[in-house]
Amino acid sequence: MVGGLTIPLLSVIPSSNDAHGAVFQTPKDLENLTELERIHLPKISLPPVVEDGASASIVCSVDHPMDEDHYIKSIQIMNFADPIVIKGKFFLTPVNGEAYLSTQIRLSGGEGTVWVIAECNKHGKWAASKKVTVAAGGC
Amino acid sequence: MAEKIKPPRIRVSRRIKKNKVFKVKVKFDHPSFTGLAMADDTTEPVFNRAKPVTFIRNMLVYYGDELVSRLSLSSGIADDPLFTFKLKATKEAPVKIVFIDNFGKRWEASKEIKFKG
Repeated sequence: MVGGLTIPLLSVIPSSNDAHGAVFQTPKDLENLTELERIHLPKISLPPVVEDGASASIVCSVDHPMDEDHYIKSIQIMNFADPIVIKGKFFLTPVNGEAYLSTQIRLSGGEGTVWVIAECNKHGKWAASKKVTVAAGGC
Repeated sequence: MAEKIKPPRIRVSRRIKKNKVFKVKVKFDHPSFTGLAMADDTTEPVFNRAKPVTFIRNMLVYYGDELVSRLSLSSGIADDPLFTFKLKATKEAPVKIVFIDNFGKRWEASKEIKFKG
């Protein structure tokens, strides 16, 4: 483990779903991020209330250098409250220059939490989440 | 929801400078069905696979001859998605984006990258 807290996701994420790997890292204190946490923690832009779950706009980015030997390998979007948990996984290379993805996802109705997992080639997987309420489900 | 599938369209930043990062937007009018339906509206949400599934499975991004990014998707993506991502302008070469759906059908679009300024 490097930096932040390693979370066994047994309580949050079904253990049968192994697409995300075994552990993620999240910051110990969101108000006081270390430099390692700051550059690895994904940023999520998603409205707190989505009227139409058939098309919810989401922007994911990571303030991480995209050097030849140190870069973000992938960004994955998930929601464990949905029947289709994994929305997509974006594989990047240093040629991307910045770890950034904007798209539109389907969300089922009610309250849920959208997770974004960023994977660094040196420092593993880092997770951030955002709670969302969906007025009309789109699954 | 798109009734017809249209070829993907790419837009890039107008002023692209060498070694600077620029945005690539690609719009693809392609339907996405999870195929799921609520088994029973009166109880907890339980879904059945009621209809055929249709979705974009992969998006491949080539810059010149090099595969620089890949997006692996599920039916959890919206209809007619607009994807935006970034690339570093390392060379004057075409950006080609290939979409493959879950039936194996393939579409592609490309845009020539030229430096300005």
